Formats: sequence, structure tokens, C-alpha cells
Amino acid sequence: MMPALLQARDLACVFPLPRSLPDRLARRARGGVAAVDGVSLTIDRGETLGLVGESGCGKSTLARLIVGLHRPSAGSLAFDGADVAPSVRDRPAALRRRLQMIFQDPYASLNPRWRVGDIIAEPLAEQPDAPPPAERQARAGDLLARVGLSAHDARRHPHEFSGGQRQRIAIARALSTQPDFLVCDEPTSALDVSVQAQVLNLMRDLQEAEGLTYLLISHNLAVIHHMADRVGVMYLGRLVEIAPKAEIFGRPRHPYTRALLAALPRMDGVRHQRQAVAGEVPSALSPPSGCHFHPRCPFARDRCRAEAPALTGGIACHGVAEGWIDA
Amino acid sequence: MALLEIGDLSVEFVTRRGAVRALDGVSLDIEAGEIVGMVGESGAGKSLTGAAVIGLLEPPGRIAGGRIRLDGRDLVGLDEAAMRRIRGRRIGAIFQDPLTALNPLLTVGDQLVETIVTHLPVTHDAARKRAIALLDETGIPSAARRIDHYPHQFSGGMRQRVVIALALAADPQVIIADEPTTALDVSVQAQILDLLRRLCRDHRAAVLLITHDLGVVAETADRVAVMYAGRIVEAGPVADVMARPRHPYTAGLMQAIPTVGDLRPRLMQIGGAMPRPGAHPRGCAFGPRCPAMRADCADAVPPLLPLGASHVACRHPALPEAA
Repeated sequence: MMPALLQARDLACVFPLPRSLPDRLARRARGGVAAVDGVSLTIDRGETLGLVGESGCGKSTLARLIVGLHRPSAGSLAFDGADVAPSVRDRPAALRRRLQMIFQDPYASLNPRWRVGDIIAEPLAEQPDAPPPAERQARAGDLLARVGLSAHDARRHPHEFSGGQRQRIAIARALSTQPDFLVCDEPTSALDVSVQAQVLNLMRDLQEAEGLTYLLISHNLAVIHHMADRVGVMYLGRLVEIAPKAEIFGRPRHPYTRALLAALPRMDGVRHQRQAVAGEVPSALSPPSGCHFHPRCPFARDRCRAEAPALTGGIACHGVAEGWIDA
Repeated sequence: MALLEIGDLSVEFVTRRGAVRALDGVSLDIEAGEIVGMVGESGAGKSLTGAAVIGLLEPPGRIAGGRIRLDGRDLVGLDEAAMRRIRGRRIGAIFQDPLTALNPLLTVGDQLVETIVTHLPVTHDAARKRAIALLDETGIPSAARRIDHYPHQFSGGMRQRVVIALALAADPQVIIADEPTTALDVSVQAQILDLLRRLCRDHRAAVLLITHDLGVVAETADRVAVMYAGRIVEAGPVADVMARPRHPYTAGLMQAIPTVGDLRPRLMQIGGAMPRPGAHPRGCAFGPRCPAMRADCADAVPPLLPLGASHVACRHPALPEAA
């Protein structure tokens, strides 16, 4: 069997907190926020793994760990069967070429002083076998055409483009090194719905044409439903459920997944009373003991308060594992 | 007569190259106890409409024409002092970001009490009692203790409840809610929309709910107005507009939104982007992006005309099914 394209094992990322002066004088240990807390997952070649969760659940940190923008405090990553260095600086160019990222805000992710052609050609220039500048510019023109802009746009600056067009430029830049894996962190959250449809359709067309593998991160369940083959649900730094799309949306097992789906707005023009989940996501500074979801979970028992459930068979829930929650 | 009547409202921005019209002939009535949703993409003029109603248009923006009647009294042309007595007292506002809407240096109690004594003839003690009651009504647990906390001690959803309590401080007749749930997570969004609906009913307030999210409108509003390039292009009861959109733009929006359960491999997309104010095409502003555009669409801007239970500004709207 072919190995998964990407495998994460027990990835964790703890951001240290600032220490107060008395704490420093007393040499007390530095506290930290576990933004990602032991996440293991695999992503197969050609598939789209969607990652959902509410703000602060660690989905963006996980994305940045995978592309090497943060250094994990524990765990390891393998790409195409081989272990990879945690930091992008230590990764060989041949690997960096294959793993690219699209960011949420196309107003912040493009250098306003650069011409669009230079922005798109830059990743190519970083490669050891970089083609000569003229060829790089020609490739940038081709890429612009592929994402639905024109080769003439290469001479313009980012401010001359709308949000949707900028996101196309960001996609063209990510594609310039012919990657096989794209991490897309909320690629359409900053866009209006009509433009979101254009970008999602483009992402899908490119995936079919190039055989791309996507890790798609979004807080928007409908976008995940539209794009993903499999879906992972995160809550306060942990993966609580991961399963094929049809199962997550058809037969969600984890109480948090169910709560998220019940909170979805419906659009059929008939007014529905949404089932609101009680409470809010607790602060990651002091996450609840045991299963992080227990204070909001209608099924929680003593074990849930004491002991964190492990992810087995795609679900991390004591109730489902022990059979006292129907799933 | 509706509680809030917006009639033929136009807003323009004065620039060096002349006045640019950003809002063009917007008419909308909201009854007491009714929630009207206003949807559209960024730059369509939704927030501008809200800002005009509460009298918070930032210069160089100015009202170029039309009426905003609250209980029969026209607010257009009132001086700042008169408007200040209405804003907060008769018209409350809820904005998108609960963190910037609150003063971080004052406790939420101080902010509520200040607002209440500004608008209502009550003592400080009575105002504090009212503040606690408001926090309680908006669903903040142990309000009597929480009133002395600072905004940073509240979570995002709780902060938005404080902002709603502030908007209700003087029991206004009209509430302008501009993207009240956009900064919140879905699970909290549902709670806040529930609260908004309950408050509208209990206080008999007229609510203008401004949002880019059709899902929020679908489940919260009674009627909806769809804006495009500074004009209302379709308005009507939510169920009619969402189930049978008549304007090609509304129909396109509905088709462009992915929904859970929808198995289409591709979303319908509206090509292009909304024109900027001052750079509108001739005739219908949606024309160049419209899949059903015909030659006469460029002749003149189509007026908003009644069609079935709705109003539509389109020369060739989708017609009601022949019955």
C-alpha cells in the first residue's frame, strides 16, 4: 500500500506565556498554552482533508506546524513516507517545493510593493534549479492565466486587484513550484459569497487537473462539506473526531460534532430554531480537565471530567467508546 | 405608518473629483416588533444605510436626499445635538466587533450606568439596578457580580451580550444591528440570534439586521432587503425571497452559497465583481454580471416594483410559476 502523503504523529505546539517578575525571581516554571495538543492524522494523496473547529481550537497552528512555520514542541511529521524537519528553514528546497500554503487574508499575504509577476515567480527563484528570470516571468504569466487572470496582470501591483483576484494570485504563487500538497487556511473567509464560489470552484478544478492534495481549514462547515473528502473536528487543541465526509455530516458521533451541526443555520426560507450549544469554548489558558468538552457536553460523566479520551477509530469520546452514547 | 420609514434615501461622498453616490434611492419600512434583514456583499451599502439611520455618517459622506422617519418625525437635517438625544435613546446600535464597541478602561457597569443616566431621568442607584436587570435579560449569568467586571474579563459571546445590553439601555424603539454575529463562532452565533429575536418580540422594537450571511437572515428576519451597488434590488418576506428569488442577483447569491447536504460538485458562480461607487455601468448595475442580461437592461436603472409578495428591481425578473 502506498504510504499516506502526509502523516502527523502526536504533534503538539505549546506557546510559552510571559512570566511575571516574581515568578522569574522564584524561578518558577514557565507556563504555556497548548495550542495543538497531541494531534495524529494522515492525509492521502489526492484527497481533501477538511479541518473544522471554532476560533482558538488550534486548526491554524496545526496548519503552520505542517508547513514548518511553527516548531512543534513534540511529535513528528512524515511527508511521502520520509520524516521531515520541523522547521521550514531546515527543510531541503526539494521538499519545500512540494508543500505550499494559501493564507486567509489576501490583503496581508501579498507584498504591496512587488509586482504580481515577481510575487508569483519568487518561490521559483528559491529553487536550486531555478529557471532564468525571463522563463520565471513567462511561467508567472501562465499561472495567472490558469487561475483566471491574464498574463498582462503580471505587471500590476496587488492594490489594483479585488480580494477574490488577490486570492487567485496567492493560489498562483502557491502553484508556481508545482507542489503536490497545499495547506489552505481559511482561503475564502475574507471573501464575499459570490467570490467565494469562484475561488472554491477554481480550487476544485486545479485539484482535478494537477492531482493536488489539500488540507483545507475552515470554520465554515458548509465550505468543508462542499470541498472535503474526509473531515477532522478540532476542539481546544485536540482532534475529537475524524471520518469520511458522509459520516461526519450523516452520522456524527462526537457530542461536539453533533452540537456544531445542530448549530448550523438553514437556508430553506423556513424559520428554524437552531439548537444552540450551551456555553462557549473555554479559554485555552486553562482548559477543562479530562475531556475538554465535558463542561458543555450533555452526556458528561465522572470519567470525562477526570481523564482525556484517546482518539481511537476516529473518535475521542468516553461515552461513544463505552457505549453509553448512541453512535 | 411604519415605526421606521426610510424613503428614497441617498448618500454621497464628496471627493475632489465630485460627489460619488454610494446609496441611491433606498426605501424600506420596518414595523415595531419586526426584524428586517439587509444582505449584500461588502460595499453594497448595507452598513452605510445603518450609519445614515443612526446619524453616524463619517464625513465626507453625507445624506444627499430622502427621508428617515422615526414615528413620523424626519431625522434628516436634524442638528448634532438633536440627533444625540435620539441616538441611544430612540435608536440603539449593535456593531460587529464587541471588543471595539466597549471601553476597555471602564467596567461594563460604568458604561451601562453612564448610558442609562444620559438618556433616562433616573438616579445612579436606579440606573445600576436597571443595568443589572439588562445584563440578566441578555443572558449573562450572575449579573449582579459581573457588572463590576471589565470587558476583557468577558468572552466574545458574553461581550456581545454586554453590547446588546448597552443598545437596550434606554429601551430604544429601533435597533440597528450591523453584523452582530460575524465575529462570533457558530455555536455562539445561534445563541445571540436567539437573544435578538426574543428582545425584538419582548420590547416591540424595530430591528434592522445588517449581515452578509443569508443563513443569519433566513432564520432571524421576517423580511429581507437585498442590496447591490447602493440600491435595494429585491425585498420581501424572507420565505418568498429565499425560496423563490426573482432578481438574478439574489438567485445567484443563493446558488453560490455552499450548504450542508448540497452535493453539487461545483457552485454556481457570479462572474466578476460588484462595481465601485461612481463606476457603475449604464442602466442596471448588475447587468455586466447578469446571466439573463438583455439589450434593454442598459437603457435605464430599473425601479423597485411590486411582484407577488416582494419588490424587485429588474426588467426581466424570474416570474412566479404559472398557477
